Amino acid sequence: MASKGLDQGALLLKKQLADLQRSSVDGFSAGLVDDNNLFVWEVLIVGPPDTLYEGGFFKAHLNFPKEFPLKPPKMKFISNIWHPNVYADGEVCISILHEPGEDKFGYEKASERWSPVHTVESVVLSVISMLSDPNPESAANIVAAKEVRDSPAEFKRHVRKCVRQSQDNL
Amino acid sequence: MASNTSSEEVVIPVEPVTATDTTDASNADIPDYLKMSAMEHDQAVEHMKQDIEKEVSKQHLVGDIEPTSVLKTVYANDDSVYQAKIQEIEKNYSKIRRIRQDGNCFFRSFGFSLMEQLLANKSEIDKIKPSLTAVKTDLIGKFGYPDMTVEDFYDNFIEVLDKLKEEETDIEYLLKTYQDSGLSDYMVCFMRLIVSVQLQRNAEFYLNFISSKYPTIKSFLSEEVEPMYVESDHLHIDGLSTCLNIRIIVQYMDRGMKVQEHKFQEGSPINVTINLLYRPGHYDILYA
Repeated sequence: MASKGLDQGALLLKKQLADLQRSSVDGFSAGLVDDNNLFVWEVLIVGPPDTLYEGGFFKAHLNFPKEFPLKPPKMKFISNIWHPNVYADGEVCISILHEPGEDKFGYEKASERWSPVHTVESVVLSVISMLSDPNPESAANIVAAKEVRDSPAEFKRHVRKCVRQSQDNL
Repeated sequence: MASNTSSEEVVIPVEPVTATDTTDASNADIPDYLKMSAMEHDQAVEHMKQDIEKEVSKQHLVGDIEPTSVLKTVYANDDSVYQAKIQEIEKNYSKIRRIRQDGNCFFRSFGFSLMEQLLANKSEIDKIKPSLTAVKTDLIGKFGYPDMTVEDFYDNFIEVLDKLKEEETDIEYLLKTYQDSGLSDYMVCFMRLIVSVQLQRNAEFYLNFISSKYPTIKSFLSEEVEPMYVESDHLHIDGLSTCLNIRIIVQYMDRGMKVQEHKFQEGSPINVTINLLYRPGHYDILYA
């Protein structure tokens, strides 16, 4: 029998990577950090048009657990980014990257959770939509979340600074 | 809910803060777990979860056949309710196959029992395949799921089914497949998607049985069906049984008066019957 065993996650990642590189998806590009390791990816996200992040190019790393796709990857921005749902160390906090039961983040019941059917593409597209539509209710960066509510001008200033920085670092 | 709050009440000051200096004085009476910070508490819970996971991972994903009486050792001798019920079940089902208690047990029990019977009854295999293919087609075409992952889970399931048709395939192959966590979990993934399709195809009907905390079928599926390790309930059983038209008979063994039997798709023409034992939070396979 062709034992796929623990390599199943690796095979799936390999297929997804090939697929993303063959037919690129609008808004981001993806590659491996180290060619010998399928479980760590680098993605470059283009700041979505008509948002404060427009014009920015944000680098992030995706770390896949050995149980992928049963368990979700972790995503961490390497570029500086100012956003209510991104921790100070760059880690992204959105519901699709968490399994059900991890309720300490206070997501609504209706929000999408990790399931094995999700792809890297669906995860990154969710992160892009998070950039367009911050969710101050489950804040990872409390200062940014408060700015979104109380002082949008200040929030904008912080974000635009990151956008300029990301262009300089490209 | 705040209907009795009149505008006058708004100006009444909040209770004076008197409790500021009590924290240190009464500290000795506070149990340890209450002294933890939120983060320490999270870590403690996380450790406990890891300990449980470690313990559970020692169980076989799919165990060997054992006499049903083995359950008597699981419960205390003087637990008269359960001991009596085990005896009752033994009358009709002399053997049991225990499945790992990892939240996937219903699906793993169903999948293994189905394929074990198909192995002995190969002519039924092709009767099931069309519904499996329709699941894949609907997921991708009708409900917009990514083909990349759906096809992966589907192909894995079909590959094992096809293997059952071969003359030399035996129960050892099936056991090896279901004890290989990669293959076994992939099978579970696909069966979870079968339930998902069935509920989405008949969303209006199934919504009647779903707690109102889930406003849509999608939110229920995303939280309670599609992710791994979340436990199954009546709806999962109904969804899987109906979609594939496979008969399932569940013996419910809980603290109630007597063992309850629940039948799903009783009139199915497919010559397969999945017999399961339910104990609160867990499913195993039963044999006559």
